Amino acid sequence: MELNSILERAEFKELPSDPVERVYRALEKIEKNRDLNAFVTVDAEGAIKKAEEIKRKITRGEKLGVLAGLILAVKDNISTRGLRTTCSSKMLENYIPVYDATVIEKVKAEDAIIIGKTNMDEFAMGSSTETSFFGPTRNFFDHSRVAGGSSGGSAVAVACDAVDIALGSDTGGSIRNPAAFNSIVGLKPTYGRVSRYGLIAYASSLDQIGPMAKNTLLTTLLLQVIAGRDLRDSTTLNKPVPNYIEEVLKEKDGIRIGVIKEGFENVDEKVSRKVYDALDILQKIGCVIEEVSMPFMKYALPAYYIIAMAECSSNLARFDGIRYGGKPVKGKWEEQLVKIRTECFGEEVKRRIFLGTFVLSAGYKEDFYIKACRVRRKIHDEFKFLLKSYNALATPTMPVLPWKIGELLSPLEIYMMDIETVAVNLAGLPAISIPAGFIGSLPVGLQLIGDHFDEATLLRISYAYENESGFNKWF
Amino acid sequence: MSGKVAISREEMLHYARLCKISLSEQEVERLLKDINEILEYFEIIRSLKLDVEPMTYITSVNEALREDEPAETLSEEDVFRNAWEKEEKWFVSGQVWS
Repeated sequence: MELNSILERAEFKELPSDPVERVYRALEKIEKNRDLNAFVTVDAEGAIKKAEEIKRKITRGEKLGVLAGLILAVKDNISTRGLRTTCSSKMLENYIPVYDATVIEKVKAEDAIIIGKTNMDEFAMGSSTETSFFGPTRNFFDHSRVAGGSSGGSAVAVACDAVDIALGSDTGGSIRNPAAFNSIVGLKPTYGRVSRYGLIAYASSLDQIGPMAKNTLLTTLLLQVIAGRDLRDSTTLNKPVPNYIEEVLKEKDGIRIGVIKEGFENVDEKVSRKVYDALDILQKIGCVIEEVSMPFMKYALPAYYIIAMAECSSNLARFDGIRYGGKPVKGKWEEQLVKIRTECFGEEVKRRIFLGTFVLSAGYKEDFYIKACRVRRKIHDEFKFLLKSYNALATPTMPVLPWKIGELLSPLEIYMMDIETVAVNLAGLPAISIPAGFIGSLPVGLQLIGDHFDEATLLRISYAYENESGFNKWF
Repeated sequence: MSGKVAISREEMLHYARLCKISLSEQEVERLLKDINEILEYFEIIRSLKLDVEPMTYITSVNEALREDEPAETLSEEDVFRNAWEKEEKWFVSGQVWS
């Protein structure tokens, strides 16, 4: 399907007829919303250059990419050649990647306009974008509250209309959480569906890049572009990429959704009610809704944190400040290393490196890390069993409404905010957060979880729900 | 499995050395409190008895291999672009062996 007809269906307000003008408008929006702190780096020059190139292509009647003229924000842990990529850490404050991530090569080839890099929790370790070295990103709907995280900047860039689409990454909920908190759509694809080449690693067996947008079709379009096998990422699988747009427009009747009972425990009652209302809408449009149980879900959070911390302690060992990052320090190698890591990593990053080192150490590995990996298998098997009978599983995306910036003080309190999202990453499944409505001025998200490589069903449900609820017009 | 796991001050400093991170007095106190609170929460995993194989990766490695074909890689200029100090074709670091 042509881009224009997709955009028309997505009720896109202005088709990208003059991309240069659209870039200037986006830059104005970014400037107007500067206090939200969604961006770490804005690349006005690069964006204008790209827009002019697209304009020339239009004038000459040359073939355009499927994202031609769409404005894109990129999370600051995805490498962009020549454009500073900080991971919102002092460690990479001045780091300029010398190559593009595979997803960046792909969006550039399809003529997307990259307008800048978005704020995030430092090295994606956080659930609110509060651990960023550059300060927290603010929630679009209430500036005194958190944006969610770790892809908070990408979500707010979309919500404030500065960009059409955004890339985020999701290790334990980092796309879905800020999508829910800012009333947009965020999809975490199946592990292995999208290349991680050029994504600065946090926990390699869990990390996945995914699309974010205000509506289902733009989310789908971006997934279409970034999905697929990449020889530079051996964990991507050689499975054909379906035509997602066609899949999304298919009939929805008879879709079976299992509502995970345990996903509604320890959840703010108002949030639960909103999510049940959204499920009522899905029932009304022909989905079959039934309650199901996942007894191991309660172990997902501690298992996730043990595994993620273990992997991060290994991944972040590379930051020695000698080949890149850090700061110039004189002295012996070990002194340099300790000084750079002590001064350039933030508190949450240090805590996770520390705990990861501990759970992998002799005497504790079997009790913590190996056991968490056994729990991981149980969770994977429980999901697979349920997904034999259901096309998708549902929970709230977040157990609470966005909290006040600085309100949650202990690390454990913040970890608890991930109870709905982490199980999905342990099992490598795809999941989407879609807007489920508001309580007062604050948004609630519905999470739908699908079977491996079945992003299409999640997007199809999302699109049907969007047409019925009209969530793309809530702004 | 023995009793509850808690980290002592000495262990804390030992692990900090392994991580190549130094901690101020204040940080030791704060981290010790946070970490022992988190470890207490992890106890529910530690006390589980499970007879399934551990799962470390979701995808199988069967598809991991590709043909080994020569291709363009980074230029020398790019390789050193983010280094604070270089000498000819070498990164410069402090003395490793004392």
